[in-house]
Amino acid sequence: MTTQDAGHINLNFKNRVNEALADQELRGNFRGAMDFLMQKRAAMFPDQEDLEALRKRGEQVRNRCLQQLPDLLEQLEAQCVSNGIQVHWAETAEQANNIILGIMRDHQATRMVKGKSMASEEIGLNHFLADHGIEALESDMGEYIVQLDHSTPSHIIMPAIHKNKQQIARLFHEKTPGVEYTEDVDKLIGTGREVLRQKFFEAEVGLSGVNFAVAETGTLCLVENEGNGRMSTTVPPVHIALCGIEKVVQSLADIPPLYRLLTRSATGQAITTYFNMISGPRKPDELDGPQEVHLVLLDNGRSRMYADKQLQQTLRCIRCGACMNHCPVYTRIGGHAYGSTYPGPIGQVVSPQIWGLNNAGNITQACSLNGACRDACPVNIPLPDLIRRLRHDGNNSTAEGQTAGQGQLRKPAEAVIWKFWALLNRSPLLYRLTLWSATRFRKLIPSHIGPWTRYRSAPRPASKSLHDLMKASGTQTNHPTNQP
Amino acid sequence: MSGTKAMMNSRHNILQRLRQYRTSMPAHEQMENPTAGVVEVENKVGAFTAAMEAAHGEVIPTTSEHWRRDLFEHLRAQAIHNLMIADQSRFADLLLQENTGIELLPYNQAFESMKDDLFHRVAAGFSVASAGIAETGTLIVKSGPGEPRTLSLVPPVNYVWLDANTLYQNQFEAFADKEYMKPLPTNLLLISGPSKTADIQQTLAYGAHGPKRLIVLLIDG
Repeated sequence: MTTQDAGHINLNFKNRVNEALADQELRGNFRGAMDFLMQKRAAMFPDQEDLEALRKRGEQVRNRCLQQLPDLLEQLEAQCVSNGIQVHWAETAEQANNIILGIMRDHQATRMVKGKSMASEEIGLNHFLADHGIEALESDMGEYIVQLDHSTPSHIIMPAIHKNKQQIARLFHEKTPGVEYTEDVDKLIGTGREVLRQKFFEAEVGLSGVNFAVAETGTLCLVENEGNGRMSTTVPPVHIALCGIEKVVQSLADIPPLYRLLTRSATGQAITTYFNMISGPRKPDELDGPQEVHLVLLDNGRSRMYADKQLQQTLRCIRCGACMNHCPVYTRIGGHAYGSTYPGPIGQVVSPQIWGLNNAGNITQACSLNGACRDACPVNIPLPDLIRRLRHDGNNSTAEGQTAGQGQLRKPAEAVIWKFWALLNRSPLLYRLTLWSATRFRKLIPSHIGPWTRYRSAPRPASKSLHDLMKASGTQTNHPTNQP
Repeated sequence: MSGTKAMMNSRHNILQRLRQYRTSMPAHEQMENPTAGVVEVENKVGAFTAAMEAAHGEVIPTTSEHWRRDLFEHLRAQAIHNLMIADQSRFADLLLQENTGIELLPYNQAFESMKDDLFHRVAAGFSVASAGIAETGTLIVKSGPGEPRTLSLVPPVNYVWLDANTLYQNQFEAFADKEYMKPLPTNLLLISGPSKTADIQQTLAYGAHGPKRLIVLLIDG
């Protein structure tokens, strides 16, 4: 998704939310899935003290790596090159897409098979390649389902979590020739396996994301259960890895604490089936593996996040998805309502910083600041603080940060109301007058006040204010004109 | 070439921005709890077996003397009619000379020539783990001339030989063993069970894209 087409994140956000809230089946699917994932995670962290110690360790490892980021990126590049991996740098989504297209063209390749990569969703790679006559096929079962449905992932770890098995059964039956309707999950997965095996067999290029890139050894690490990541990086003659620049860690010793946090926080697994560490293409004496490995390092707004003392904490994220699993808003509206590649709390923080507050700032409103995401985050990202910060920056063109579109969410009417509110609370006379009229004329407040009363009754002030009641009971108030 | 030039500029711009703003990053802190997450394992064989079986992997406890007999008995009992092994595997000579009624296929050419067989004919692949991790029931397989990576990936069944003496307690211990980890092979794999997915309504299904069955020959004695 380039900045030009990211504008739709803000557009119609409320409509998408309303539609999602009214969809009982969708809400049931998310409620069930989120409850399941929260339970699984909790079972993996039985001791709160141990968990806190591990989270602190994860936070400190990530901070140390980020502190050295420019040096580590250079070290990673040098190590990769000496291992035979070709390294490319992309400042923007457009550059990354063109680099990948260039590699495809160098090989006259028209068929790409993809392991799961949120970064490739972020840059809108599939559409870009399709426009250039290249089929990019998703091979993660969830991503495959979503692609078959001409849709996008609704969760960063479980892309098809918005669908139940009946819906998937119908989709497979309708979209795959010769497939009978069945709700048997083993059979459905068997169908996916069969279709995709042929695609792995035929693909000329495999594309994957990267979970950790180890600077010391020039190693790309992929975390997965299905084996499609291994297929995409092993079977096609060319492997392209797309990696956000923040994914670098210093050494192999940094991996165990982060990997432990990642799988336990994401799906409540002690470990995933595969941890795939790629340190180079096939060597002359080896029989298999890709002939070429390319690493595309993607900035796309990340170095801007790095510049801000508070917002740089965004870059600690290891993309586990625990923040969305624990978010009461995400659970109710689902991933698609956000309209962004990255939904949920981390999406509310990442999206405006990638695509600008003017394009993607509205989604920061879908937060009650309850703090559940912060408590679940394996690397202690203070997500509610960052969401609040971005709300502030969206309303203040003089904000200090570097996020694009600052001040562009400011609504004149809202600004006037807050100005009046501030004035009211600063002036004792005006405050008392307002309080007096609110209690006396309380019955004049209309019973229908816009969206507020769609699901609630209108608020009605009490007939006597707290001050009145205290006065009547003879209690002395020291500061009768104080703010309530 | 203008493409290369543009990329050099991108590299320069990214690194320059990061260097410019690096001062805003918090200073490096002393690690508060450098052993957080480390779980010590006393009975490594027991822990490995329990974790592997919990992940739907199968463990055949055996010995260096009997493992070949156990392997072929298992193949026959499961009606798995062929097994592929790399001809440069340390066990190739031993296995390929066996006359057991099971067809033994050598992986002896480049993948491009083996691909069709691997995808359409081979019933089981034979791999050798160079070490294991007890806590999580994990096999560590290092790619190399005798260990093609597709052998543990493409055939529907994967037999893996593992010496119990090579079990690490946990991942921390394995990844801190510099001698074992250097130099890294082109592909180092941690494998903790057969391939699986829960992408359809959180229902666990095995055999997503990799092997449907993972069978460990655990050599203990």
